[in-house]
Amino acid sequence: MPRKSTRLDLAPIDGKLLEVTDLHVEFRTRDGVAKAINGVNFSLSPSETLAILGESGSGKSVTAQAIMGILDSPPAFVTGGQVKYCGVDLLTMPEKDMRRVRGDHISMIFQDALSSLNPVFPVGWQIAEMFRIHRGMNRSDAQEQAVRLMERVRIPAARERAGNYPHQFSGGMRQRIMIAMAIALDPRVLIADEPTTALDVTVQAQIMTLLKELQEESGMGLILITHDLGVVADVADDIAVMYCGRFVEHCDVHRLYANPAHPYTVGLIDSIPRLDQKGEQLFAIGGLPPSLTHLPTGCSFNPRCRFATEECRVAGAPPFIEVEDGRFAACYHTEEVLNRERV
Amino acid sequence: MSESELSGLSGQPETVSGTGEDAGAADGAAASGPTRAARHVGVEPILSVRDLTKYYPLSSGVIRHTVGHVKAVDGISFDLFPGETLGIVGESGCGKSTLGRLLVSLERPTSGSIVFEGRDITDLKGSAMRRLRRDIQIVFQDPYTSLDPRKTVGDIIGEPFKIHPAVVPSGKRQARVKELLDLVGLNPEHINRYPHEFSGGQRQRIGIARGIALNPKVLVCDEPVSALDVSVQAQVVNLLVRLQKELDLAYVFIAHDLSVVRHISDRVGVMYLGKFMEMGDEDQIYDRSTHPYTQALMSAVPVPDPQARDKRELIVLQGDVPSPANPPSGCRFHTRCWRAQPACAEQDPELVPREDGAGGHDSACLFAELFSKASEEITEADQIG
Amino acid sequence: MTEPHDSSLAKDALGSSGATALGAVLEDDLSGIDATTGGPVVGTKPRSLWSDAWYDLRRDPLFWISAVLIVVFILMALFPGLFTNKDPRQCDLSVARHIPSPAHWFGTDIQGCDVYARTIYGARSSILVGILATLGTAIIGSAVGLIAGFRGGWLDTLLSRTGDIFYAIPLLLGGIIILYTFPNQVGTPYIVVVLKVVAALAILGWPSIARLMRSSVLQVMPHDYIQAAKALGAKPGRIILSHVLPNAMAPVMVVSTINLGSYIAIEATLSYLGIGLQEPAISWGVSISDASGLGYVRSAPFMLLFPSLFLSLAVLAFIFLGEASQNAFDPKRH
Repeated sequence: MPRKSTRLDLAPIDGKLLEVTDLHVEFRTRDGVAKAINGVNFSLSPSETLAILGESGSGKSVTAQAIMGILDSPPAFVTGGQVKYCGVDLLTMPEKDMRRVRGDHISMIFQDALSSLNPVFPVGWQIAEMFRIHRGMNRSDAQEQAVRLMERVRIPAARERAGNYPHQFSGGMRQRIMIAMAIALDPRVLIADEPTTALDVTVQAQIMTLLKELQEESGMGLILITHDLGVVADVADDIAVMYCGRFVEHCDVHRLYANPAHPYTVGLIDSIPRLDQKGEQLFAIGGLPPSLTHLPTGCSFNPRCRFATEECRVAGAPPFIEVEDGRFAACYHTEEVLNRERV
Repeated sequence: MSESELSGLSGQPETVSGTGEDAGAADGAAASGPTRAARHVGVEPILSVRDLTKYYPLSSGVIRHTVGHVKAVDGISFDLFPGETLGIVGESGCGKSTLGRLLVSLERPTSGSIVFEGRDITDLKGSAMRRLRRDIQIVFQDPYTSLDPRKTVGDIIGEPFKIHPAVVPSGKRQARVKELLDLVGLNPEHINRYPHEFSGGQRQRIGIARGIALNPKVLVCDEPVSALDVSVQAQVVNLLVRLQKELDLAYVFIAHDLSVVRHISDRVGVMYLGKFMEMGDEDQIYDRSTHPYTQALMSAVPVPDPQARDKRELIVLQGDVPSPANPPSGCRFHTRCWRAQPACAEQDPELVPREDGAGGHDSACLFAELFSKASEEITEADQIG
Repeated sequence: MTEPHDSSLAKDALGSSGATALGAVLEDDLSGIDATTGGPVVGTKPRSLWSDAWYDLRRDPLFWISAVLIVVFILMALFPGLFTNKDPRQCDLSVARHIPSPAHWFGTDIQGCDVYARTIYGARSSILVGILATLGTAIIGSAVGLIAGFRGGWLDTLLSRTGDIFYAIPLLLGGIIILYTFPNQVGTPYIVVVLKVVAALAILGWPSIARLMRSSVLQVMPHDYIQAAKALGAKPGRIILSHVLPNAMAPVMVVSTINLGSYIAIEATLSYLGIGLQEPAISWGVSISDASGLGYVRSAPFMLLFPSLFLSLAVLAFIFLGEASQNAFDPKRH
């Protein structure tokens, strides 16, 4: 029997949709406690696109899952901090209410659309399910809404294709269907976790264009989780760079690409193959990210950092502070990094 | 995407390599000379591929009768010269990985020929085939499935010597394995470790060490860096560049990442539905491409520069890639091409040199021309996206 | 870079239903966890997947309970003298069906034999049949499964259909038919009697192992390390023995361990029906058969209780061991 549920009445506070403060997550594994997130702070406003950029193991996906309350626990445990959505802390919210926040207010899309869709139901039925469960619509109204949504995410011949099964769609079309399901209930926040990583470049461009258009139509806040510097440069307003479970730099996209304030960001941007380096060695950040169970003392990046001094190894993790107007970085040597010599 | 836009990138090149990992700093120490392609005038190709095809039968019904063929590779020809890198780009399903597997004889071609050092190797069998394996090797994409989890690093890199005992006498194998580990930037003392103790980038180094163990002349790299993180990608690309110079390897570098291919390749072939659409040296493909598919592919690559955001001319292709079981008539790309004309559906254009404004290069388009926004009429209707 | 997520996670994220969130969260974002600067995990010794499995097993109480029981049963089978100094064949009709007492801990049976001694000595047949039948099914089944999975094509079809034919015969019914067809004579040596039961179980049991091995070979085959070995020119024998078998055998080992328990139970069933092991062989099945004669269950339940208890414990011990090793070999835990 369809449950009829109304939307939880929540409104943005001070223009902020989402405010994450001092979030900590750890994984208690056989090999020890892996500190996946070690104090993450950020906020998201309506219509804003925040990209969280990081490599595997940086904690970017865990951050998203902690916000959604879908961490697999155990082994994952949120050990501190707050995730405030419109002033309400999601971490302490009862699961019953949280279920009404997910999908309705905050929604998420994943990298692999094929395994995220149920193979035994037609896609139209799966989209319609969102309306039946969350809005208590009857079957035919819900189906009608589903077709309209499929048109909204620009699936050609939507009415005919609503009866098809996920495997009958191409990768790009499946990702559109995932997006349709995610935006079905007009969420205010959409988290996209590597939405285009599994897709070809030509399709990737289509999907990113679609996400931007949908955001312009609805004014939702978008958190884009990715490792791709190109995608970020294309769509993000703000970028947060993550390393070993911390934000190491957070600022607007133009300043970050023009002159990074953290040595890790410098390394990432410099390791992009460039024309004038053709055939030469690429800049590579030496070494590897440390094990999250054995984080180095001091700044987590210090063993790979060419700016590192004794302070970075001995003192605690560098504070995440405002280094310029609206620009945050966690480095003891920001000045030096910003004014570094360029060859 | 123009040259000026690309070089308009913010950060300047850093010559200082990071501290830390042993290999990071050593990779690609030497700079390259003039365009390597220029060397090949009068040089015999090491590998010549002619009209290569690979069809996979599609069967159906209870008695499994063949109802059609997936034309994964459908008429590919190219030459590979000693010491050069041929990049092969294309979207998933274009047949580039099948091509790689054909080159290392993991698959038998349906028709066509592969000539290595003047000898047709398509039908080699038994010991002749095994001997050839020493000369053409492969590095796989996924560092997690390409190494046997039950074997130590020493067993994995040493396996080539067990299969080809003549290459290194048994007493010296351990030393040779350690040498190889050192060569790819891993600690030779880790010879008894298991693959799962290493990160993705380190595993890829192990896979590369296995690939070069027998001193091959040709190394097929099937998406060797696409499963790796950005910072690690650069390390592995540097390693490949360094090894090529030290060991005089010829690479067939298969990838979908156009910027990595551009960095490492002397020449680039663009594949679509089992065929080359365009082939040429790096400038010809990246700056003077005349084939609309190449142009669309280039335009879709996100540029890591927020300044370029509004200047980019994104060509959004219609629809999806057609099924390789039933490719379109004539030019395979005509169903998605904004420049298609009636002739495109009838004639299958040949890959022949066509004018590109600075001489010419191989392009398989009847209406080959440089892309310029002003001359195009990309209507709203064309942009399903 | 990231592992695929499963649909339940996605469903959850969309808030459709369900409270629990599953997914490859751990593998996903911690895939770089092993990596430290410059090399593998600091301060750990090289670990194979086997030693990893052992590491898990050691921490599993289920493993220790079953291991202790199995060791005790194996000792019982090898050296029954360690547990009793009574001769199970020395019976005294005058003390038949006595209840447990300090002289006869488990009482005596209808022949006046000591039930404790007969239960201890019975372990040998049961364990022997269990181990041999398991080895037999594992060897035949693995060989067939490996060839079918590796070669594919018509050979696969032939072997798989042959297996299906045997699979279609119910184990118990098939066992009865085979053992009835080749009855024991008076004076048939003990080992022949045992081997007949083993042969019947192996003939009927191999297809399930073959199926399992085939499917696990098919999972291993597409991995690039197999392709890499082919590209190096390795011969099929080398690829099978060096790469396919070691990577495909874990499920077969787990299931075989669990099967060992059920073979012991089936041996008892066949013996109970009078067609497995028979007097003068001593086995739990024979003892249970003797004890369940008319009226004895009510008048002398201990005759049935103790051999049954041992039988159940032995079966459970192997099933537990199988469970424990299944957990340890589960790739998701690594």
